Amino acid sequence: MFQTFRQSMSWLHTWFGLTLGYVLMVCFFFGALSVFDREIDRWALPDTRFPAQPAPSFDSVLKPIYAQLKPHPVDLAATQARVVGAIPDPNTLPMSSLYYYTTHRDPVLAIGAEFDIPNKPQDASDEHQHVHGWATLDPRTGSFLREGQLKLGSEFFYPMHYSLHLNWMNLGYWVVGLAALVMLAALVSGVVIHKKIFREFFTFRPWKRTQRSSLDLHNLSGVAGLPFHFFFAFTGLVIFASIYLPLAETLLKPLHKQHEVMEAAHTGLAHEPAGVAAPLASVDAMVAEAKRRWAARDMPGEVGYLYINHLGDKNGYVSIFRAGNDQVALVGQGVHFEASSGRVIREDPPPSAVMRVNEFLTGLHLQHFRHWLLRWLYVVGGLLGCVCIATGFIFFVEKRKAQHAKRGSMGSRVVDALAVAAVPGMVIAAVSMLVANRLLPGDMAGKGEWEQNAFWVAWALSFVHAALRNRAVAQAHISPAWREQCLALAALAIAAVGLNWFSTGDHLFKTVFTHTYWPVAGLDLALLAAAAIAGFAARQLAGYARRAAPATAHAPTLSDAEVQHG
Amino acid sequence: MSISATHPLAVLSRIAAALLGGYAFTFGFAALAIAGLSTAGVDFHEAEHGTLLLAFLVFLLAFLWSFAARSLARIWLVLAGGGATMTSAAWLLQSHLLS
Repeated sequence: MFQTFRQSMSWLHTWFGLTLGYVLMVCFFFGALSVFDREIDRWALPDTRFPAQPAPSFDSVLKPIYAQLKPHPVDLAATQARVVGAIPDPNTLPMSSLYYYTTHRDPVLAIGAEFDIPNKPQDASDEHQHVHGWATLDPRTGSFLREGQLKLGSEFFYPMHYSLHLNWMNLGYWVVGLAALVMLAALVSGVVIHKKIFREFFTFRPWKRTQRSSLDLHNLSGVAGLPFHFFFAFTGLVIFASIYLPLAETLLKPLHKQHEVMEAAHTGLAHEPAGVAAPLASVDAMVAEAKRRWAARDMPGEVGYLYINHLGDKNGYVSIFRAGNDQVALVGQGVHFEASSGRVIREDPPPSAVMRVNEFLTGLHLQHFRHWLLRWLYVVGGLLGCVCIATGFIFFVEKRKAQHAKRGSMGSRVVDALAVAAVPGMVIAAVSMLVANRLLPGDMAGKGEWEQNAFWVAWALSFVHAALRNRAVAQAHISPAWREQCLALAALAIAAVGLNWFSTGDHLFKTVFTHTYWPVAGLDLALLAAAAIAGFAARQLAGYARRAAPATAHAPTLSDAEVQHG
Repeated sequence: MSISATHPLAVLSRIAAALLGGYAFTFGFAALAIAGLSTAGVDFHEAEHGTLLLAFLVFLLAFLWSFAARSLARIWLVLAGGGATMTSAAWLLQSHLLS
């Protein structure tokens, strides 16, 4: 198909980059926001603006709360579709396992449980006979957070970057996985295309034509971010490897099953319940024992993840994992107890080399450890990825728009409209969601749904606006939609900061100086920075438009005629 | 082949080979590696995690090769054929291991 290796890599880079670049923009931008997902949650849920808390006492605080936890209606409906016959009254379903998970950035505690159901599955190989329940609680009082509130950071922006909220058949995961593969291929092919990669690293000529300077910036951000971008695309694939290559659930299921049974025998953690009722001993005592053992290993710490399996059964066990604030692995150093007696069944040995590599790679991507500088570098890296992709789009349009204008082709107009929607439009959508969050009343039923509507509607409007306003591209000019949407973004970002002040009283002077609360202050400052950058970009674009206008005053009519007679 | 290499159908076939063929090859590679390592006595989950780390790099190479290689027929043969062969071999190994 191609004369040379470089030509083949160039073709691949251009066309796969163009088609999946839009998805990659979403992954990198919302991935960058996910670095501070918990902090965005605090901004969006003013009731939860208090310092991070360690997990409270299980016996006195959490145990009665788990007793109130019921199967979630969403999962109930999803499970009902998979099983034969009606699921019994959710209030009567027995809880078979429970967990909580927390990090050094969580004021609120996420808890969840599985409930057994007696129904047979429609598909005999489907072994998932549970419905799930989950909730978030204020660990200081033990009360549940109001239902229907959306944690914008951890429940919307974070899943956006790996699932696009396309949950049908895991479609979003597959699209993102394909985009990640294409990202890896684009990085390799990008290096192949450019022979003088070292020199390009130091080349940026903003005063040159847009086509040249956008390519400079594309190369610079691509090369500077190369290790970072390769790492995140690659580890993103590794994290969801069991979705992309579900071998243990398909072809190698028999082998996997056999291994699970053998492992249960080896670790003493029962794979199945015994069917004999047994009480639950003091979990607080088990937590104390786990902490004592961690301290004895010279690594004192808090509980990050607690899991109880086979609740109320003789085979029940309690697994307690240490929070990974000071290590790359999310959690570790598990200690496992017999639920009925509190006897230690097992202490996890140090992980093997393969598992350590795996934990390191996935942990470095998910970064639940405490390191604020690195956290900000992640944001910079993610945004650098966005710059790289966006300049790729701009270069594509700039390189072709003159030819397209001559030929009357719509190609560069379509790409440009999509690029506007993917660059300022995507940020507008995210900020609109924050604005909606502060405008809608806190106790509104289904508030989270409305916030999501605001996000999607704002994004759709951005695309429609970009498509309607970009006739200029067909005449080889820059679309005014870029400038207009930059202005809209600046206005929205300032509005979000103002609305946060008016609705909660948490203005920047308070959150930075008098009652320092960085999660809220950080997002407010980031919004102001976004407004400043968008305003600056709008000014620059206005300057371009003014300079371009006199030189080509006759061009529109000329190419209009060409299009008509094409 | 009668159609030229730049014919839209040839390009589509190449893209399909890169994605579907590449996936089949990667799936077969991972299956065979895990089954093989399990046969050699490696813990299942360790074999799984170690293999899946490599698998995406294998996919990346297969994907790039599909565009760099000349013969479309050879790409399909290696990727789809190789994938099917390795998947079958993994299945046989597993049957042998569990019998």
